Amino acid sequence: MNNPTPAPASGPDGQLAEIWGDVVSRPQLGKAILIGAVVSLAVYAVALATIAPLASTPAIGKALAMLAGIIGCILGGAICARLFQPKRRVVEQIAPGAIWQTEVLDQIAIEGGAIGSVEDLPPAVAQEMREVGLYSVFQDYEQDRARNREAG
Amino acid sequence: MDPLLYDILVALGLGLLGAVLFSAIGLISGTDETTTIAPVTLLVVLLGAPPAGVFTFWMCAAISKHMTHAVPTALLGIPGDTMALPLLQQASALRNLGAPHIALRKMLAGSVISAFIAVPLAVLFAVILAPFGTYITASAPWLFIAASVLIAYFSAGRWASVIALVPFTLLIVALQSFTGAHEVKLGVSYFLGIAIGPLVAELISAASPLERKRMNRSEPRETTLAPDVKGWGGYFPNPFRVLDRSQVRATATAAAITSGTFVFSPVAMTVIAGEIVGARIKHAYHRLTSVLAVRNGVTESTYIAEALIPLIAFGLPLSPVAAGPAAPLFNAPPRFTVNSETGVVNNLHTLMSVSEFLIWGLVSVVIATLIAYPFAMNHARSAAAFVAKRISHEAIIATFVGLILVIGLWEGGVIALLVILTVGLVGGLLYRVLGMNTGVQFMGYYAAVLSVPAILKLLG
Repeated sequence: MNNPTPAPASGPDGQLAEIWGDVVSRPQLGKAILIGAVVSLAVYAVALATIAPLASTPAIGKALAMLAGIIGCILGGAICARLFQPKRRVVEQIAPGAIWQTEVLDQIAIEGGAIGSVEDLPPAVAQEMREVGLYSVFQDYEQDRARNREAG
Repeated sequence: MDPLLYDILVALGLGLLGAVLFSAIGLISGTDETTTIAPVTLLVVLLGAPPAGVFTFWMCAAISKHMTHAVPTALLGIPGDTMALPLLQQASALRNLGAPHIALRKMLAGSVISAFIAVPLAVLFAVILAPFGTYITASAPWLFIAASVLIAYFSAGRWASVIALVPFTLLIVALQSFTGAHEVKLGVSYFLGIAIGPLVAELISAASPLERKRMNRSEPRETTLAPDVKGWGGYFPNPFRVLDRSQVRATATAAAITSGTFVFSPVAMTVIAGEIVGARIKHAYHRLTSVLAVRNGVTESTYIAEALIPLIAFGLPLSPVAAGPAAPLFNAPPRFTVNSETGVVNNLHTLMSVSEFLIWGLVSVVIATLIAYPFAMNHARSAAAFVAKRISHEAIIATFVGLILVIGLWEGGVIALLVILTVGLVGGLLYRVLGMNTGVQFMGYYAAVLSVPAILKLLG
């Protein structure tokens, strides 16, 4: 009924892995590397054969071919971006409720920072907080804490 | 066309290109500065851009990237690059409070103010240090050893990085004599190998059954995209209004001080500046926003100063930034060189005057501010959504693999590719396992080129 071992994730994209800071699909990454290599090298080779002989010196010709090869890299990347979708689940954030915000403030307090009092703030900062809609959040939090202290 | 006018137009054009290109790259989280800015700048150098154009390109690229890197950091909660790491905690707290747009604006305003302060101050510090320049270039081989040990010690690996410097330098020396035996002289390939090392190591690790467990995931990455609220009219919000008076003061002071501390790690300076400012502010909201403004400001000032001071005063890459992301401004053989025996340099240091550095530096700040700042202020949310939903990580890796192949083949054929692979794998693993970052490895490269011949000569 309750399976403790996580199921091997072979969904539509195959095995996922975190590589160089983000999640990719292993089979798709293999194909993407192949596409990137083939496209960039093909463009470089074609430029080396066609554009390079037209330049005034061989060094400039080779550099121009390299520039073409770099454009080839970006082209290869663009093809891969069309073929392979990002493995990210983007959630559009819902308006945060007061309870959640309180948890954030608790977290700040735990991490060693004082919350402080809105009374002590310079007027400009208090005004900014009102515009953002956080003034009352901080004020309520303060009053809650004060009440809890009296009660406890 | 008048050659002077031509140079000016190219410099402005390349600055614009750098700003547009790296405003876009800044949006993509995890794109490390060295890996992206160094190879592209190298390309600009090798294609023969005039000195002022090379300089504006690099400056605009670095300044713009450190503005737009705030977008993924604030809205997606993923650091935009290495320098965005110290911003993450405060940015996440504001994001969870439902005010990510405030985090973004404070960071952007801080970076604009800081960049404008850093350029003239860095030039001033460079001019003060310049009289010692001839003395310093003469003792360059020994200074590089001292600087590499210092930079290694202040990296995450501490003594491990210092010790690892020895075999790493030896590896470079060995590879140089190997390629020399086949009459191939490489420079760019070493830089690219070091810069791209973390990617090479990750790709090869992914193929190992031992590493599979660490790397495999069963779920796609989940990110919440925060809403944005536009709180101003017009297109260009005044940074002095976005920050309150005490934040402007703190940002400006931090920028001024960190414009002088050019030998230290920029990440460390960013962390410290934030800690010092944060400790003085009692209220949590004000503390979060102030720390963000100051820290993102410092990401600009350290980068600008660490590139400008060694470039203007010595022409030798004697800072973590100069040895890393700004390396092609100093050394891009065959065009820019640092001679191993005499310490004679031929790079932007010799090709541009102090006043040119100052003027083009300020022009770069203006260009980057006109492109990246209003773009990030106005289109942050749609840009972050586009990158998160449309640009797959597979596509980014494919682009970099193509880049390695093309530049390697261009510089030295298959032998150069083997060197990139070797340096990349070793360097990337040293980074991940020991915390010996790419800056330290660049210093190892310079030690191999500059210090090793001097040591061998001394030993007879």
